[in-house]
Amino acid sequence: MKCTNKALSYVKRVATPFGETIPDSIYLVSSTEDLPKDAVPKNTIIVGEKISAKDVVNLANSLGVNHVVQATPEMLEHEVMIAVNMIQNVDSFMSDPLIQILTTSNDKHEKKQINENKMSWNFRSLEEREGIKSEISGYLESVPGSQHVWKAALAVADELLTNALYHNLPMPVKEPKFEDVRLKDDRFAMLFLSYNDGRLVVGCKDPFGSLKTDKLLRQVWASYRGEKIQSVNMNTFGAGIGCRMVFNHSVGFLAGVKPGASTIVCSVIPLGQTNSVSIENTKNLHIAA
Amino acid sequence: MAGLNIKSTKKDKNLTLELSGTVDELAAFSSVSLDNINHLTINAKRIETINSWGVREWIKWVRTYPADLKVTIVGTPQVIVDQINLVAGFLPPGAVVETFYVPYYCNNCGNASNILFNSERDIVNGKMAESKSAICESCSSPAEWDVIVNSYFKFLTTSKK
Repeated sequence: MKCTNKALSYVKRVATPFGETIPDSIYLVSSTEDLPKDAVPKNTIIVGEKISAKDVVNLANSLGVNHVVQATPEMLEHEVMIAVNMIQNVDSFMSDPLIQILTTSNDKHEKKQINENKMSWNFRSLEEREGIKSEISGYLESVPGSQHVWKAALAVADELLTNALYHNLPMPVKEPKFEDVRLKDDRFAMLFLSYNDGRLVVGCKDPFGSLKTDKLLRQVWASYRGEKIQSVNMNTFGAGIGCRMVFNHSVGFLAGVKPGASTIVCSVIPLGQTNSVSIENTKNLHIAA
Repeated sequence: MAGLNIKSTKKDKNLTLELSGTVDELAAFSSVSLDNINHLTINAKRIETINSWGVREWIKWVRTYPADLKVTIVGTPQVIVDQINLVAGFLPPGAVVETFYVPYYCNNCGNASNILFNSERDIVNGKMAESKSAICESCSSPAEWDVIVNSYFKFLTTSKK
């Protein structure tokens, strides 16, 4: 297995504190040719340099990899930590994803700041969508470096909220009326945002745990085949395009599912970058299901 | 509910639609009658966002267009250009994207805005005409295009000119 010395030294430094409990394997790659060709254990962390978004999705979809981390000097350590934490203690991620995603040190002040920056909205019907989006717009005005990403953040929030509603209706209906789009059992889901110096997280948590991550990855992978997304499924809601739109806006995509109990999907959006810079960002992926 | 506002103006066999707001699953495209229309102009300038459910509605609507309908899209904002580039069938077959916006960012004053391009005038062989440059409307300094130009203009190969 080839690897870059730079990536290896970072991973060794990160993995050391976990001693015996590091994941089954950390697979280091330096180019597309080094990507594994056969299935690897789910808890493998793929660490590579500039793995394309398409390859990230392919690794997750075709080989069942749950964690793909880019070996960028400033974020590698943090992303490997996220992966290790999600593998070792998924409950910790499910109970407080914002802290897991945004905390880069053990500094208590940092955690406090992330919690202070947090805004969340409980929702259970489509009628609440526009009001929440309007409040998110107001919130983003106070987020430093968000002037280039407010449209992306709103688009992600819209997708997460809308998908949570339509995928958890009381009864599957092909074309539900506006007023009938409500979460089953009158339960609430939650949309939440927070940020640190460089990243904004937009996430959604629902109390159903119905997301099938393998299906989601299959759909996103299908959207990468060919130059364009070739078809939009007109008969059922969702055909991967929403996930692809979220993925396009993100430098990090995280999903955690406790079947029958809760689903969390988070998008990490870089702050302070113009659109043209942001498009070139590589992507990290973390799945716990 | 905010949603999409559709304002239509009909003159003889020409129909102009001014779309504004959010294109989502509630977009009432089915209320637009294309009977006895041979040229549809869509002014998309005021479309602010589109979600994946709106993409679905848009494509369903496009698929109802009569085969001989001429379609022109003007004032195409980035959110729509992105969908044209990403999703096959989003742009109606044979449609002309007459004008579209290209975002720019000014490093001098931090202003982010858009400049309207005309596909016929400002694009030469699929590339931006050399005469086209981003000048900040706020401080008049040279600005940078805030897209990856080659991939952003990809849609021009599927749009008639």
